[in-house]
This record gives sequence, structure tokens and C-alpha cells, in this order.
Amino acid sequence: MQKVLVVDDLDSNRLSLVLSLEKIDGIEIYEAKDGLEALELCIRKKMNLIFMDIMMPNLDGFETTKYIKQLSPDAMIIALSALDDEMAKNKMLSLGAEDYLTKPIDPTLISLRIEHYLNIIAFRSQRDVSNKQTVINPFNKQIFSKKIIYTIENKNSLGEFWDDCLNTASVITDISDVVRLIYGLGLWLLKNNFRFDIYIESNNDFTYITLLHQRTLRHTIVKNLIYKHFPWLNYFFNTQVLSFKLKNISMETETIEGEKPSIKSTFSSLTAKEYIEMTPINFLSKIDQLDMINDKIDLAILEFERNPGCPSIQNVCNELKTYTKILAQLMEFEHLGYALEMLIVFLLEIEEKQFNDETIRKTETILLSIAYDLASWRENIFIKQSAIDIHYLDASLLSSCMQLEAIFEPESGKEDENEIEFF
Amino acid sequence: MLKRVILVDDSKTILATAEMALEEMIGKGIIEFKTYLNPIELLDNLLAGTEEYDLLISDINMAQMNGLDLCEQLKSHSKFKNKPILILTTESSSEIKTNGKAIGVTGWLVKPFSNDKLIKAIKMVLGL
Repeated sequence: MQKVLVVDDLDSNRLSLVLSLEKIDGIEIYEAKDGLEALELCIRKKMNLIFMDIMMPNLDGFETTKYIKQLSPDAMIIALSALDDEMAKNKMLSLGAEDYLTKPIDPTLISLRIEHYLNIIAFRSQRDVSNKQTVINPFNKQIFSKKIIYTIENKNSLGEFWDDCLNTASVITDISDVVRLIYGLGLWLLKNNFRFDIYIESNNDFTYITLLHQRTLRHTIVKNLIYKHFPWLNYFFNTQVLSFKLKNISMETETIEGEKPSIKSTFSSLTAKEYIEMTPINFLSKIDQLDMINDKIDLAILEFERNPGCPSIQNVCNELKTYTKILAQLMEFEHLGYALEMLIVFLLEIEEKQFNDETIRKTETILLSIAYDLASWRENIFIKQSAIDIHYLDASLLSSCMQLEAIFEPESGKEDENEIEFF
Repeated sequence: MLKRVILVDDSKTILATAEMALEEMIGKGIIEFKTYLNPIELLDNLLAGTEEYDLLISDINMAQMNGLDLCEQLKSHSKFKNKPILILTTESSSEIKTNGKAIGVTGWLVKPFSNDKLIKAIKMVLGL
């Protein structure tokens, strides 16, 4: 049932509106005689539609609108304004009211208006997130129909992207990091005469910002940049796109300004024994599955040694994918799964012509080592329960995967002075 | 005399990658290179006198033992206190680096490392 609130200090005004509302099915009607009372009601119950008078004692319509929009951004507020009060009307709209009704309200028109408002509110909570045909982000096909596209041809258009994302009230976590990163990469692309597009797609829970770079961004450079400066970002990178998955902020979860989790600190430090104690037994049955898949990964890598090439690499990736699916079912190992997913993406992008004696030898060595590390990890956490921190492999595995990528990409030539530091 | 470099890291991938990066130096007889997966085993061998190094390269986040704890124990031992230690790690926070510096590590190399950087770091520390 939609909850509708009428806020007006004059009994007669409230009554007139309430009588019109009572003709409509499927709504609960509430009343408040001033802004304070309205605010108290909104704190106790989530109102969907609010008719708000402007001039009221205790707390006027302006202030009440501002507070309620902070409490419930989705609430639709309709200003009730006097005939000749254009300034007040405009101020209400700027504070978040979505429409206005001019008093005295015509009862013959109000019912239709109310029905329109209720339809929009109903649509708001059921926005179409069915699978879309043309989806740019690689994370999720279930997104809203609305898509924002920036065609970046010069610094002005890049600035527009920056401005739109950062100078409007944002309900997206970490958006400033992503915008700054894309802006920096965008400047480099423009400097090298590459034009590109940025897509912004979203659903109820996430926003996806994707840069279509079409093979112009260097794999190891971008990954190193993100790994070292923005390790908390959830991203996907291949030869065509660099895409970020960002969580939409809900009222239940606040981000604390200045606190950025890193790969190392996203999860609290747990010893293996502590982890086993807090994990349900049925989760732990997955360990045997991990053992089986580990064996299959080893076999797939040996097959790659016998018949090196893209088809055998595909087999390795299939087994790694199964491994990551099981990892995803265990608590706490999201980053480990993420590192493997990055590895899979990279392996699948290797072209046949990139395989030569040296790259084959090195790839096989590193893949076998990664398989060993995963088996060792399983043993240290679940069998011996000896690991002093269950996340000891997270960052290391990600960097190991990047070491593999470096085999196929020549040194960038640009020295990173931060890599060695002597005391 | 051949300089002996030991790398301790619980990731076989890192050990394998480092070994590949140092192939030429090892092949030309510039350094001896030994790897350990288990820091406790390394520490036991060092204290027992069955192992030694001219340069130790150590990870920090290892399953069995924190690398800085390993370094602290070695730096408090008369036989090893003047031997250089390079940290090879994903950690780059100033707080951890300060801890490392206080313990007496010689340098800090951040993963993922390039072959050139690893070779350069070893050459600089050993004066090669």
C-alpha cells in the first residue's frame, strides 16, 4: 500500500485534499499540521507521496522538504503553493519537490494528478531491470533502460564527464576514485589521438562505468596503476573495455569519508583456526571439491605442456572457473576468487601467435606454481589450519597473476620509481 | 667469491618468477640463488648453521610466519645482524615500511616486480 501524507497547517486545506485521496484505492492516508509533525511521521514510517504546504509554523515546507529528501530520497514531494508565490514554488522544486499544485486545488483535476503520481511511484520501485540486449558492462545484463554515453573527443567532453559525475549529489560509492582514474587515462588517450566512449549503466544496486578503449590501453600499466593506487576497486579489463562496478549507497549502509579498504584490510585478519571455528560444516565440504578441481587444473596444465596453444589454455581456464565458483561459496575469499578471475580473463585473451618456446615454458612454470600455491593454501587453511592469516595469499596471488601477464607484454620502459626503496 | 642470495616466500609462483628473472645472473655465475617456501625451515637452518646468505630477500605475509618477525630475529643475532635484507612484498603502507626500517631491513621492493627491478636491487645491495 502506498503511504500518502498531507502536510498543511490549515485544517480545511488538509480536509479538501484528504477527501480527494479517499476516493483512491490502495493507499494509506496520513496527515500532519506542520513540518515538525511531518518529519516525525516520516521517521516512523516511510512515506511514498507527500503533499507539502510551504508556509507553516514550527518548520516550514522548505526545511521539511530538505530533511525528508535526506531521509527518503525516493519519496515524491508535491508542493502546495499559493497562486502568486512563484519564488516559493521554484525554491521548493530546487529543494527536491517534483511538482506543485496551486491552491485552491481543483478537486476535479486532483484525482487524475494523484493517479499519475502514484503510477510514477509504483514504477520507481519496479524499474525494469530485465536482461538487456545491448549491454556494455561485462558484469551484469540486468540494468535499467537508461544509459548515459559520453563520446570523448577532446578535453571539454572529458571535463563534462568529470563534472557530471562529481558535481552532482552522488549515491555511488567510490565514484570519485573511478572518475579520477578514467579522467587520467582519458587524458592519455586524447594526447595520443584516440577517441573513446564512456558508458554509465545501472540497476538498483550497482552502477557500472565502462571505458571503451579498443586495445589502446596497455594491460600491465593499467593493472599496476589500479593495483597500487586503487586496490579496492572492483573492475574488469580486457582488450576492449575497462569497466568498474560500483555499489549504490543505500540508507542502510553509509560510507565513512576517508576510509578506503585495501585488498589487505577489506576483511579482518583471521587465523585459519578462527576461520574454521566460525564456518558452518556444510561450507567446509567444499574443500574436497577444491581438491578435485586442483587435480584437474594440474592435468589441464600438463596438457598445455604437451599441446601448447589456445585450446589447451581454454581447458585450464575452464577448470579455474570451476575453482572460482566453489571459492565464491566459501566466506571470506572474495579477493582470491577475483585474482583468479583476472587470470582467466588474461589467459583467454592470449593469441596463438604469442606462444613461442619461451612464453610456453614460462607460462607452464607459473601456472603449475599457481596451482601449487592454491593447493598449499587449501592445506594451510583447511587441513593443517596453520595459517596465521587466512588472507595471506590474496594479494600475493593477484601479483603472481600479473607476473604471468608480464611474460606476454614487453617492459613498458617507463621506470616506476616507487618499486624499489632503499633505507 | 660467489654471492649467495636466498629468497623466502610461501608462494611458489613468486619463487619461480624470481628464478626466471635471475636466470642469466645465475647462469653466468654472478650469484648463487636458493629459495625457501617455509620461513620457519629457513630460520631453523640459519640458526643451526647449515644455511647462510649474503643477501636475504623476504616476503612479509607468509602462512607460517610474518616476514618482519623473521627479519627481526635475524637482525638480533650476531651472525646475521649486518647482513642485508630486502623485503619483497605487496605491502606498501608507510607504517609497515617504518616498521621494516626500524628492524633494519635494507630495502623494499613492491610486488608485482619487473625482472629489471629485481636484478637492479640485488646488484645495488651486493655492489655487483
